Amino acid sequence: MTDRPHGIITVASGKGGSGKTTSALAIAGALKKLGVAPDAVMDLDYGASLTRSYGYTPSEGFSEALLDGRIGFADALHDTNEGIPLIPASATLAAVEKGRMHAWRDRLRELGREKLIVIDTSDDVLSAPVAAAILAADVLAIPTPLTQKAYARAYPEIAGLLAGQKHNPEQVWFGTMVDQRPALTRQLLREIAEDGVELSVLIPRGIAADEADYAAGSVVMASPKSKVSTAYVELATMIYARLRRLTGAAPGIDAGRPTRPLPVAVNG
Amino acid sequence: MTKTFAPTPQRQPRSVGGDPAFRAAAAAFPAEPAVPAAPPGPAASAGAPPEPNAAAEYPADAGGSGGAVADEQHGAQPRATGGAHEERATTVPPPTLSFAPAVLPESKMTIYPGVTERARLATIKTHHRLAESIVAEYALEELFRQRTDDDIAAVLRGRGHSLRRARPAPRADP
Repeated sequence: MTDRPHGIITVASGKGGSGKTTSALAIAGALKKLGVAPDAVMDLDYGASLTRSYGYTPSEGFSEALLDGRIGFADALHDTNEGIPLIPASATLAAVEKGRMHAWRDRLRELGREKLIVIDTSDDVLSAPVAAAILAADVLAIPTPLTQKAYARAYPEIAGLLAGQKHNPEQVWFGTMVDQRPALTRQLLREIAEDGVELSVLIPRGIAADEADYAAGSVVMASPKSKVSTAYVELATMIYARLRRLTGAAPGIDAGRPTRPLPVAVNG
Repeated sequence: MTKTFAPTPQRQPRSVGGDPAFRAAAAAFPAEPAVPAAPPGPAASAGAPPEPNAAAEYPADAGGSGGAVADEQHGAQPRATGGAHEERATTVPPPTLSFAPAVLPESKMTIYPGVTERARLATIKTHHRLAESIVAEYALEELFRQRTDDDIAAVLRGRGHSLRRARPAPRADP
């Protein structure tokens, strides 16, 4: 057992455009801000959104090469503006056959025993890379835009995959791009609560997240005082606490202030 | 102060289990057979056989006896880190470190209009009591280039204190 923070944090959702990449970036940035910087942020999206977000042009699949064992961990790392090493992806991830899923999952679990890694995925949950990342996850972060369609699409395939492979990671659900003014949003929050799903944090809709693209980093780095950034730091605190409970090894972090109740009375 | 959490149960929305996507995902990958416990002894620590190929270990069509045999081998040894991956390394070359940080687009790096132009505009607005924000390239190129401040003020005043759009002419009554 080591004091070094370690584990796999996978950001996954079956709904495209739900904020997976933005959240993976922000969670990594927020963890660094909290003093537990990830050893790497890994891109397992064949669209290479995370790779592009850090300002790289995807040309070679380093994440694929790492999980195939063709290169070592240190050789896969790339510098970023934020000081968090990136393991870039390329479009070749789309061609990874399903037969490699279990080997990739085992390799990720092996890495997670020593490293703290945040993984960004695509919405193609049943592709081998994404399935491996979900099944290797210690903590599964599920971004959910608060619309009916997005909520309905976010989880069924992930649930089926976890049930079929008998994997039960810690799950942290959180709302993304939340605008609480429409009555339908509040209605959906009530339905989600009735489903027994706890949304840990509501990430507000904000221009700060979009502006972060031009800084080639996370919103936590680009706009540290924005509401979006504050919410992601709170989310990272929760994710890390769950991870710490699982591994029981990493040092605690100062939560700063007690968790605020959700700003909407979801049970009312 | 450190946060503590009570153990969280597996959460799942009510309707997920009946979703066709749930059933499809549950059957998408063959489930692994149970791994028997590793028997202690010299065989477990020395002379470990090479790890079988991943495709043979988990066949894509069904998790049958082949997977069970493969896992018995795993049970007799700690899982190797290389194995099938190292075998693949002989055929696929590692990628080259050819990444270069992308350069931000020029339009995102340039403060536009520049500091000089903005300061000059502020002076004009103050001295001539003109309420106008000028960000158009037209203003920079045509208005500021060769003219004095008084000329610029005259142009702005002639345009009805606006460069963004020409004020429509008053409609003549029929």
